[in-house]
Amino acid sequence: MQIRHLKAENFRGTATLEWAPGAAFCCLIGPGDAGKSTVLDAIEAVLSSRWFSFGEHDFHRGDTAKMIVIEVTVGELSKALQSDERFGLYVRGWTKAGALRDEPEDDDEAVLTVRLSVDATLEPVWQVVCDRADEPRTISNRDRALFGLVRLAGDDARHLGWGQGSVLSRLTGDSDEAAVRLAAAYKAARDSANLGEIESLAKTAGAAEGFAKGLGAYVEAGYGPGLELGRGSLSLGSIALHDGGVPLRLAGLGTRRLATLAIQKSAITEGAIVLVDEIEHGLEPHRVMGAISQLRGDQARAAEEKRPIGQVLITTHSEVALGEAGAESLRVCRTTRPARVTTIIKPGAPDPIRALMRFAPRALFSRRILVSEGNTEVGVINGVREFWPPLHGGIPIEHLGGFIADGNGSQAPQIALGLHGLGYDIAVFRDSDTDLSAEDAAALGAQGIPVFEYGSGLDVEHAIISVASDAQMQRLIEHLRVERGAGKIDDNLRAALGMTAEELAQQFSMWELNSTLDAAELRRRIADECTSRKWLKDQRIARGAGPIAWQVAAESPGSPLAQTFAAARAWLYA
Amino acid sequence: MPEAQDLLGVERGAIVAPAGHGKTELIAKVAALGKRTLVLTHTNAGIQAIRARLKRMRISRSAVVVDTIAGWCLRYAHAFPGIAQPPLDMPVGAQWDEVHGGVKSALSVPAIRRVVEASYDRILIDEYQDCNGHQHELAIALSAIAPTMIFGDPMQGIFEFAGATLSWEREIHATFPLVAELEVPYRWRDKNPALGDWIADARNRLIRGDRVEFAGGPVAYRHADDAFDMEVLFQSIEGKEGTVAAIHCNKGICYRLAAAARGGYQAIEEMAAKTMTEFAARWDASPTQPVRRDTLRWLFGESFSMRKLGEEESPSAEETSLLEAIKVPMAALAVDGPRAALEILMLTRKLPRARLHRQELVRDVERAISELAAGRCATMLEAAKRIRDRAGVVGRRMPKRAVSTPLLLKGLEFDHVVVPDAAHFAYERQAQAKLFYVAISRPTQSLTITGSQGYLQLPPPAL
Repeated sequence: MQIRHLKAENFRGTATLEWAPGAAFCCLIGPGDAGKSTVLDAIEAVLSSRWFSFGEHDFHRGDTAKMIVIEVTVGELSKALQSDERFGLYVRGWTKAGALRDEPEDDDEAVLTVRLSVDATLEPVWQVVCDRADEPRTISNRDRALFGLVRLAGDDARHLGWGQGSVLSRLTGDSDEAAVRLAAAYKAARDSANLGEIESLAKTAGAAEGFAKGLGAYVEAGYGPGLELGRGSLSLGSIALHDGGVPLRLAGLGTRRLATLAIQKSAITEGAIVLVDEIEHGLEPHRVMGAISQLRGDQARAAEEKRPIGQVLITTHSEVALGEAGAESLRVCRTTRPARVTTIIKPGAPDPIRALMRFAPRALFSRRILVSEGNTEVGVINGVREFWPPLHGGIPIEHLGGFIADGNGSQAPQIALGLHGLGYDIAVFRDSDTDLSAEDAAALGAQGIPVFEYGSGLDVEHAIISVASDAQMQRLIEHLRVERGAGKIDDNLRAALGMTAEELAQQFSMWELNSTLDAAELRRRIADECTSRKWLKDQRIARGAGPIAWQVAAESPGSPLAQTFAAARAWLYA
Repeated sequence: MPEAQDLLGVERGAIVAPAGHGKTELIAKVAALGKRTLVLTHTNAGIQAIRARLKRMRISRSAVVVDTIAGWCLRYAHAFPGIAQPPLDMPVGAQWDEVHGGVKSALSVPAIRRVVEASYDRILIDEYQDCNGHQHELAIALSAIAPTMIFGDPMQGIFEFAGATLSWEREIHATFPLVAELEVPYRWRDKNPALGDWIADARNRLIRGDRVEFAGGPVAYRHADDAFDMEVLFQSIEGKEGTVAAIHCNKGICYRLAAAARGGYQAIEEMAAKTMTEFAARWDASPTQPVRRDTLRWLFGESFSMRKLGEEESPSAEETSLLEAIKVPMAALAVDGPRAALEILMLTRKLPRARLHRQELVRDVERAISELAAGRCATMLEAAKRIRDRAGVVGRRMPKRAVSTPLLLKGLEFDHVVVPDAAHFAYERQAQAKLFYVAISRPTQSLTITGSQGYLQLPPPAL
C-alpha cells in the first residue's frame, strides 16, 4: 500500500494540510513545530487499526466547532481490499499524472480514500469515501488493519512479548503447546522452590503463625514461605523475547525500537506503510544508516520480485539519516504562522539539492543559509564569522539557525534558488571577478534573494590586499609562506615584483622602498599572483586567512571588503 | 460424471446437463472447491436451488456468491455509473441489455477488472441456454478475468422468443469448449429408472427430429381428441400420491383447463403477473361504482367457475343469503373501495356453486387490496407491483395440482405429469422439440400423454 494523497483540516497544530508524497520513500525534515509529527499522526489516525479517542486538544486551537477531517487516498492496494466483498466497488482512479478521479478510467490505478471525521461530540467516524455511492461506507477497525500501517512509536514494549493482541502472538498462531508447558513450569517452580529450607524465612513464618494463633486464627497445617508468581499463573502474556537470557525490553532504546519495527513489519504480508518519527532516536549514526539502507533495500527487492513495495515515511533531524535517504526522498515541511497552513515541499530539481546534500546536508536543518560561491569564500567567511559573537552578545550564527554553505562554485545560484524554493531564507555570498549571468541575476532578484559581493570586479584576493595595511600584508604573506611553502611563494613573488630574495626577506613595509612599484601597484601585483596561482583557493588556507581579512576590514570600514562582510553579518544576525 | 476436482484446471469450458442429471450438485461441488466463487444464474428460483444445495454441504456464504446475472450486473453498474451508465430506475425490458453492455464496458477498465479479479477465483454460469447475446458477451469478458465454466442444456433453451437464440455449436462453444456432457439420470434413480431412461432416449430422438413413441413403455398413453378430456386428466392421477402437473403450451388453454377442472387443477401465475396488473389498472382507471363492480366481475370471470344449475334446481338458501350480503359492500365500492372489495371476495369464495381455479391470482389480488386498504400504497398499481416484487424474491408456493406452461414449470420437479394433446406442440411457433422435452422431463414417477396418435414427430431443434 502506498499513500497517494493526504488532506487534513483542523487537526492539532495545523489548520490545513495537503500532501502528495509521490515516492515510496520520503524523508520529512523541517524546523521544530513545522508539523512533521502531526503529518504522521494524521496518517496514523486514519489508517491505523487501533481505536483512537479524541479530546479537545486534538482540534486546531481547541475549537471543537471546526470539525477535524483527515482524508488519505491509498494506492498499490492489496487483493483483499479490492475484493467486492470489502471495498472493490468503492475504488477510485488515480491518473498517471497524479490526479484523483472518483471513478477509475483508462489506465488509472485503483485507489481508496479513507476519511476520519471528528465533530464536537468527539466521536470519531471512519468511512470509505466514494462520491458516487448513495450511502457513506463505514470502515471497521479490522478492515483498517488491511491497510498495513505500522507506526514505530516510542517505548512500546508490547511488541516484544506475547501478550494479548501482540504481533508475536498473532504470528505464533496455535499456542496450546505453550500454554501446557507454562502450566507445568509454574507447578515445577512452586514445587522446587523449597523456600522452607531458608532458616530466616521459616523462622519468620513460624513467628507469624504464633501471632495468628494467639489472636484466635485457625491454622491448618502450619505457616511457611511459598512461591507465588505475579498474576497467580503463567499465561502467554508472561512470555517475552529474551536476548541471551536478558528480556529484550531492557535492551537499549535503539535496539528496542529497531526490533519493534521489524516485528511489526513482519506481520504485514503485502507492502506495509511504515511511519517512523525521528528515526535516529536512540541510534548511533552507523545504525541509522544501516536501518534506512535496510528499509530501502527491502523496497528495491520487492520491486525486483514484482511484489508490492509499500511505503516508508520518516521524519528526522539527523543529517546522517537524510544523507542515507537521498535527495529524491527529501521533503521539507513548513507551517505558516499565523494561518497555520502546512505545506510539504519537494525540491523542484533534485540535482542542485543533491550536490548540497553531498557537501553540506547540515544546511538543510538550518533556517537561514548563506550560499557561498567557492572554497575561498566559504573559508574566508567561516574564518571571519568567529569574530562576530562578541558583537552580538556572545551568540554565534548557528544558534540563530544560520549556516554557511558551499555553493560549489557556479552551482551556487541554482542551489540558492532550490533552497529558496524549499522555504529557506537564502542569500548568496560571492566575489565579483565574474558577473552573475543575466538569467541568474534575474532569477535571484525575482525571488528577493540578496547577493553580497565586493563589486567592481574584485575577487577576494584583491578585495583584501588592496586595502590591507603593511602589517596585515606581512601577516598574509607569512601565512601563505607557511601554507604553500616559502620557496614557492618567494620564487613567484620575485618574478612578479622584480625583487630579489633579500628584499623579499624583509618586512613588507620595506618593500615599497626597495621596489620601483608603489604601494598600490605592489598590492595589485601580489593580489594578481595570489589569484592566478590560486594560493587562497583552499578552504582551510582561506579560513586561516580569515582573521587577517577581519582585521583588514576593521581597519578600512569603508572598503568593499568591510561593507560586504558587514552586510552578510547583518543578514545572518537579523 | 466428471469429478469436480477435474474441472478446476479448466480456464473456459461448458458442461451440457440434460434435465435431472446432477447439474446443481456439480455446480455446488465445484463452487465449494474455490476460495471465493461467483455463481450466476437467471432466476431467484435458480439462486434458491443452488443456495439450498450449498447449505446442505455446509459451505459458508462468503465462500460462494450466488446471484442472477442481472442482479450482479446492476450492482456493478451502480458502483461504476460513469462508464456503465445504468438507467435511473429499476430497468425494464430492453434496458437490461444496456445494463449488461454497460458492465461489459466497465470491465475494459483495468482498475475495475482487478476488482473482479480480487473478488473471485472462479465464475460459474448456470442455465446458459437462457442467455441472450449481451449476456454471452459479458460472459466472454468475465472469462478473461477468472476461469469460467458454463452449465446448461441446449434442449431446454425455450426462451428463443425472448432472444435466447445462441447456437451452442457455432457461438457458445467457440469460447466455452465442451468439457463434458452429464450422463447419469440421477433424478429417477431411486424413483423410476425406466422413466429416466425413456426420457433420455426421447431426448436423443427429439434432437435428431425422429419420431417419439409413447405407447408400450414406462409412459402411459391415452387416446383423446382434444386437450379438454377431463376424464383423462383425473383418471391418470387417480389413487396416486404426490405433486401433479398438467402441461400445455398455451396459457389461455391452461386457464380454461383449470376452470374446466373446477379447481381440481390450479393455474399458476407468471412472474409478470399480467392478470393482477390488468386488474389493478382497471381499478385505478375509474373510481366509480359501476366500473369497479365490472372490474371485480371481470376478475371473477378469470378466476372462478360457476357450476350450472341443474334442470329442476334453484339456488340454495345459502347462496341466496350470500348474494344478498354481497349487495352491501357492492354499493360501497366507490366510497370505501378496498375494504368493500375484500369483503366481496371473501363472500364470493363461500358461494356453493363457485370453484376457484386461479387461487394464486386471487390471493395476490387480496394482498394488493390489503396494502391499499392499510394505506401502505397510494394506487392499486403500486400495490400490485409490490406484491409482484415480493413474490419474485420469496418465490411461489406450488399447488398440489398445477396446470401451466413449460415456460413457467421449467426447472421444477413433480411426481406425476400429464401432457394433454401432445400434437399441439407441433403448432408452436418456435422451439417445439425443446418445449416438449421440458414438459416430458418434469415427472419423476409417472408420465401420461394424451393425443389422437401414440407418437409424435417434431422438427429438429436449433441448438
